[in-house]
Amino acid sequence: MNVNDTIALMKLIAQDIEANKEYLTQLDTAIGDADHGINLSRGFAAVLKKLDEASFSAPGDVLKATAMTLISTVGGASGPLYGTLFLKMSGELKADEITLPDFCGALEAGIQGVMARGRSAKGEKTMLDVLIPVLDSLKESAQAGLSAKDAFDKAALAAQEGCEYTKTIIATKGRASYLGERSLGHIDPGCMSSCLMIKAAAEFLGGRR
Amino acid sequence: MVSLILISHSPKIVEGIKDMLDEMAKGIPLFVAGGNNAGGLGSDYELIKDAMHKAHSPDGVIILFDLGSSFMTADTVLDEMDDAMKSNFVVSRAPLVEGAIAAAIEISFGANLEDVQATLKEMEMMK
Repeated sequence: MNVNDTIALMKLIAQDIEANKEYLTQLDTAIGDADHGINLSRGFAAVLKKLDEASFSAPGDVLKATAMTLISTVGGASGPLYGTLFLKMSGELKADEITLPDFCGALEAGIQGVMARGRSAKGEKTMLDVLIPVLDSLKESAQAGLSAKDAFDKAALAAQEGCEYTKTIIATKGRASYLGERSLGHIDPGCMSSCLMIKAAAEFLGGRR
Repeated sequence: MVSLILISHSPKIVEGIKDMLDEMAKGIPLFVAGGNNAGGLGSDYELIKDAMHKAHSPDGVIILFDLGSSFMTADTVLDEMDDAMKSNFVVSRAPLVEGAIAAAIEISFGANLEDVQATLKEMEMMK
């Protein structure tokens, strides 16, 4: 993936967030404060504008601009969380071309940033329940020598499973934690938005979009 | 004087607390950041960053917040500060309303950062 691929993928992600705005908000209505879709779509609309206005020389620059835009425009918890994820990833992606192992290293740094920012871990019904299985899957694929395309197809399945898994656990972080057991049976909205991003990456790398 | 910052998801919450503190501890360096930039519910990075930069004092700054998004946005602003500036800020997990009253009264009597911190420490809650 070069800088232009990164821009193209980020635009696809922005489209998918916009297209799923109602769905994400619906998930957040059940266990949060009904603003996840609205907040993220506002953030990614600003990202689209930024991508058209600025010029970028490396994939990391695109992620950094995305991060800073999300931090200043989202207006809810997902701003600092996705902002931190992309910002920490951007620091690891200085080269002109991203390879699968590079992406794994960057995602690992991003996840550590999210864990620190949210003081959270896996199994607390947060976006980490998608991001961590995705990272594990990508690392395994990289070790097995799979192509980025195949690796992301597998990772998209891991992301979907991560979303489904959050139905079976109680939220202990974020607004949903006030619901206790009543958060059972619902997909975490942050997991779903992360899942949409991974699926967009898989479709892009697979040449399907 | 120690500065105090109140951050909430709701502009009305911090404005309401500010009204109370104006009666009890008038004149302390008090800064609030509530809601989004349109006056609705949310947490606005620029509003919070602005309050934190205005509140910056060599005597120290106490930050009180309500929800995770308020905390994480403030934490993001802190990450961007240099270490010297950052070290002046203390984020407290005391309840927003009660913590604000306790801290404001201490500050109005000239307490230093450590004293205010010690008072708030006893009030900390899970959040």
